[in-house]
Amino acid sequence: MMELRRLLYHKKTIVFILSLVLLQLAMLSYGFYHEKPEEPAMPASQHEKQVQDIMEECNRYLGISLFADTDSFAYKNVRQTKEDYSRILSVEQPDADTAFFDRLISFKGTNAVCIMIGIILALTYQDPESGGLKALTYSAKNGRGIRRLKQIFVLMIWSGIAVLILYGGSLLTGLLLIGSDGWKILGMPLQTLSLCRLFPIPVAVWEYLLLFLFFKWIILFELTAVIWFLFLLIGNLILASGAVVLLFLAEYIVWMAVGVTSSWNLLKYCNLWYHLSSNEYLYTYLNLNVGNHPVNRQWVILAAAFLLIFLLAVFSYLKGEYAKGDRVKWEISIVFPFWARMQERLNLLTAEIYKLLVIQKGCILILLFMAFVVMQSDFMHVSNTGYQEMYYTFMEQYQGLPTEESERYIRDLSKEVNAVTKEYDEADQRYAGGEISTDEYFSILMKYDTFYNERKFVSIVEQQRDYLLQLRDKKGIEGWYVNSFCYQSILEPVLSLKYGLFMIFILLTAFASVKVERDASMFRVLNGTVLGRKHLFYKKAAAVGLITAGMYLIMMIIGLASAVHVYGISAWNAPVQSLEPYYHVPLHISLLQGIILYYAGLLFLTILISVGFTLLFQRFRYDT
Amino acid sequence: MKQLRLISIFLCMCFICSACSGTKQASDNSAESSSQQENIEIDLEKSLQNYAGSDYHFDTDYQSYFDRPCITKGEKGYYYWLDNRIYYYDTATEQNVALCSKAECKHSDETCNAYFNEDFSGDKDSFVNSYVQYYDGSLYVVGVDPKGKVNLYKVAADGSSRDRYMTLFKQNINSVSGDQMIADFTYPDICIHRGYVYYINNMESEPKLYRAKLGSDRSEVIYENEGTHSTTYRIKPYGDRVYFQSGNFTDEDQVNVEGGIYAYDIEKQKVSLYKESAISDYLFYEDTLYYSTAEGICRAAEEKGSDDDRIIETKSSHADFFLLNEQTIAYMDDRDMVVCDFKDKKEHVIRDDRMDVCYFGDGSIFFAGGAEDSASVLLLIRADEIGTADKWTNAMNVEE
Repeated sequence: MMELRRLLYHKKTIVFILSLVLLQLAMLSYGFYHEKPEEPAMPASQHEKQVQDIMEECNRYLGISLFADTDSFAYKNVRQTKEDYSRILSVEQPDADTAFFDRLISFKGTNAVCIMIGIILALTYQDPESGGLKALTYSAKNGRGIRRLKQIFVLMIWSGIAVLILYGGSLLTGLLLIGSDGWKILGMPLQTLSLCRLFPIPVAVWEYLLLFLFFKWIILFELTAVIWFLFLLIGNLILASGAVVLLFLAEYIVWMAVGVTSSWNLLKYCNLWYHLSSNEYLYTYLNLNVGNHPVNRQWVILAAAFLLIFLLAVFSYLKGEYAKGDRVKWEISIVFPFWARMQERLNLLTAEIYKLLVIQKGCILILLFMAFVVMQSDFMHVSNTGYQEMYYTFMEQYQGLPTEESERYIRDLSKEVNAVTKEYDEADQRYAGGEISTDEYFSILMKYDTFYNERKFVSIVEQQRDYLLQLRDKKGIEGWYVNSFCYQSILEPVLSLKYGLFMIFILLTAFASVKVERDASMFRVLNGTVLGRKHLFYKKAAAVGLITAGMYLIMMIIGLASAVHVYGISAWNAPVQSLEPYYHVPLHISLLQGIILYYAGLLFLTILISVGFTLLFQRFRYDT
Repeated sequence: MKQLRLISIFLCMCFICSACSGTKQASDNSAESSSQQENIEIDLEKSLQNYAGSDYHFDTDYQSYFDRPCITKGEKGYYYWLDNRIYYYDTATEQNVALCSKAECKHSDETCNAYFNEDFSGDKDSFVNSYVQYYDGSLYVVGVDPKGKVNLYKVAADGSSRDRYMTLFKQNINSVSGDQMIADFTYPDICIHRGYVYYINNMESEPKLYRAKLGSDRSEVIYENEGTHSTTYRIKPYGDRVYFQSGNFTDEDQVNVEGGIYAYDIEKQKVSLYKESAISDYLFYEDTLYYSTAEGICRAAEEKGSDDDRIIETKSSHADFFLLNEQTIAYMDDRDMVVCDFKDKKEHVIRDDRMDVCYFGDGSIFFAGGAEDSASVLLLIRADEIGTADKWTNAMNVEE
């Protein structure tokens, strides 16, 4: 009961939720009065014929060899469809104005309000960082797990109440607006609603609305539980908020990427984004392939939601049982002294990383920086300029040592381009001298323009060819044709915006590492413990070094992944001097070795700079 | 210039395939002959081996007996494109059905399993509605994703799922027209045969023949015509050889081609010239090559050094044709299908204004694409009626 009443103590939260409910009611009512209702896709009078047609189509399908294999999904789907529609074949359909009910069940505004309520409920049932509750439960190991389960149960109840208020309020408002007709419609068959004409559930409208509420309740509960669990798992409000945003982003990407006809379409439909962006699954008929059996989409969604909630309950219970910061067991320190020492050091290092990332909110900085790196990386599309396409195609074919074919290709194209350019130059002169008409001139100009990509491509590839010739003549190295766009993106120069921002990130992390003790007035204690301070400094420097090295590695992986995704890397064995900026490299190494050296060098530099700056800042902060 | 060249190639292909020059004249001639036409009784060889080579395996071999890959033979019926949907023609019941097991579906949007998007300028995968192939229990179609990757898609034989299977090549299909970006995509020639995909990227100014292992994203060039203004087209695998045609345009307008039929030996991985001066339709019947020329249809000589035998003079040049048996041939004369017994010198003409493109068939049924009341339809004639039928039958109206 205590947990249940917890929400009631947050008066502002309750007022906010009620405001949301009122806003949703206002939006629904406004739409009902001011928006023209959509024409029903099918008049009520045609319902029986439509259902009969579907049944006949099912019978016809079952006689066709395409769907004749009794073990196939298609056959089972046809059988299932026939069985489902046979239930509504004899349903009578009184003609009634059901616009309000149609709007109620398709209204997306309520879903938006549901998301907000879900977030509010999840936030309300977080244990606050301060206030002593966390410390109190810390020692009550057995109580913690049970408490999580109680919280999940309470979230379920509040989700139900929220759905009841949201949709119940909307329904009551609607019934008040349309009067006695509305009450009559409640007792009519579901197929009276124009949106549900072909939704084969043989129930009355009021029964359907109960079912609708039940689905909405489970979906809101699922959403609330997921957000609540993320907060519980991460334990930091800002980080967890970021994780919620990332989760929704991931769900959206999956929803967009998976097609409705894909064999992975369960991922599309059992998706929070889908559940909250549309109510379509509650009034359109679709069977999904679950283990080669057709199952109605809404039941699949419900089952997936139950499974997720069950898993969240189990994990939150286990998470409640676990407490961080357990010291190294004394038994281990006697039997495995080295291992115990290592674990002790690791714990200390973890504590420093925790301070930097969580207490000092370094994770926000990391998220911002990573967002910048991801945005800067090209994952979604390749530059679509025509000459780049020509260049990629050329490289796909001729990547490697220059051959007779590659040279002939360049030569032929160059000849063609030069001829067109010459023709244009002559035409330009003749036009200036009035020797040719405007039409003739423009015809040649247009021809010249169509060669823009070829011209640009020839100029790039000829420059590369000339460089390879120069490399062979002056340094005796047989350079390869390699995709310079690709390797430029991998071997990005250090003097770039990305590395500039990374430098700022290193400096801020190094500075933050000394700030926490200073803010907590610990520096006076530290000033008095020279040896302990030194150890602490080294730990902090190691923590900063680890974080920045980790960041660099992630940056490197994103860069490489982007290049591989966009260009499809090959020619790893080419001499590194094949790329013009590496002409002066004195080593006889391949591109792959060059890239490894380049990244290793930068990693070493990153660690050196971060550790150096951390120690430097600490020297300024404390007397030594 | 590149685009102009592509258009020229396309026009040239149209020229070769439909034999546009002199067609009208030929059509007029056939009008005369149709009034004097005779019924021909045909003793058909129903074994697919006759039409597809003695070493034919239904599951893994390309169905070279169809003249266009917009139709393919399945276990118990035929799959075919109609606009942007795939339909199935059931041989036993003679019924058509969209490749979608949802009886409540209108087959009019992307929620339908039979529906394939064909808006190449959009941000969704778009499909080439001229290629479908049944291979080893599944269907394969070709599409382009928004990034310009031309992919092979695997579709369940009952249409219940559809997934991207492998990438063939990448092509920038957007071009600028005025202020607008428009899709500019020439369909590739594709076929799957014995574990490999063979294709020609017709967006290339000088197309080459590529091969990729089924399921792999790596392609290799297996033939490149090194002459100037080259073209490569019409892939037809038979047994352990993949035949194709290649040649070079002899004029600036890229209309006339000089070239021949080449054979790629799958085991030896070598390409060799199989038949010179053969630039139009060809096929193998009981392992003997028949090919179309400007004057008629020729049978390649079995012995080297001997002259090829012109078995029939066709009304139109470079006619598409199909050999029904050792003495009967069906060839296209504009929209007329001329069935000709070249031993008994008999001729039967099937004229039908609804027919647009003949796909020919597998010796059991002949198919054609056409339009009736401005709607696209599949037309058919049973092979044993081809010597007597007056019109094509709309496959949608075939009664049980």
